[in-house]
Amino acid sequence: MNLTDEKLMEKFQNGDTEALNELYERYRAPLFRFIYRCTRDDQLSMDVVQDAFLKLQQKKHYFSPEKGRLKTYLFQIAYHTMISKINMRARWHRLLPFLYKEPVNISRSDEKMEVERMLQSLSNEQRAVIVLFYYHDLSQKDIARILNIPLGTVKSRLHQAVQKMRKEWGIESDGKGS
Amino acid sequence: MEKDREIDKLLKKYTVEVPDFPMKKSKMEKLANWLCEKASFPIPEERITFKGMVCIQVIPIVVSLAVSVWMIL
Repeated sequence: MNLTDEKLMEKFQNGDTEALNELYERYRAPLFRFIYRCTRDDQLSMDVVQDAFLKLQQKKHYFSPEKGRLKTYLFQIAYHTMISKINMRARWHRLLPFLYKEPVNISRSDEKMEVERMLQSLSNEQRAVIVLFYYHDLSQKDIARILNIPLGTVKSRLHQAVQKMRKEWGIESDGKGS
Repeated sequence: MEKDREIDKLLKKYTVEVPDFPMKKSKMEKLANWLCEKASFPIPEERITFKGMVCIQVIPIVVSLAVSVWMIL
């Protein structure tokens, strides 16, 4: 099936479950990578992706191509699901601090760990913007919709995050691209 | 706004392997999620301190022990 995401979603809204499976195969990996780069937690990432697709099924008629792309809609669901789970986990952690442990880096190369460390040094808000912009090729307008923040805030966070990373990595500013 | 080329090049080194997992959760996973879901609680969360939580859990144990000791004596 080489249909667009929106066409597949339309078929799913009309009852075609194969279309949903196709959408899952297309977006399982990108959504997992997005959540993982934000949280570094395998289990949480899988959980969020599964919950996102469950919500997509429950609210399938809420989506309309006039409102935007399906990719944006899916990332929006995943992001808000992630935030809910993180907030819930933080509440339990305050009451029972021994419950959760910080994710541990397992057998990554030095370069990967360096980049991972760099991303973790950003604020949660900056990290989300960087991951969506650099890894998922989303426009700033789409990012604003996903994160439910103004476009100006997206630009500002991107700029601040890039400046911070350039400084940490010792990259001289040449005024290009940011 | 264009991507910063140098930052883009560095960030691309951080690849993530995606495990194989199904779209639907197993019944056990659903049960675990339901158990961990936040339930409505009569006392506002802001009022519960760590000490308060410990007291709620420990006091019944202490009372049970005290009653047991009293009954033995």
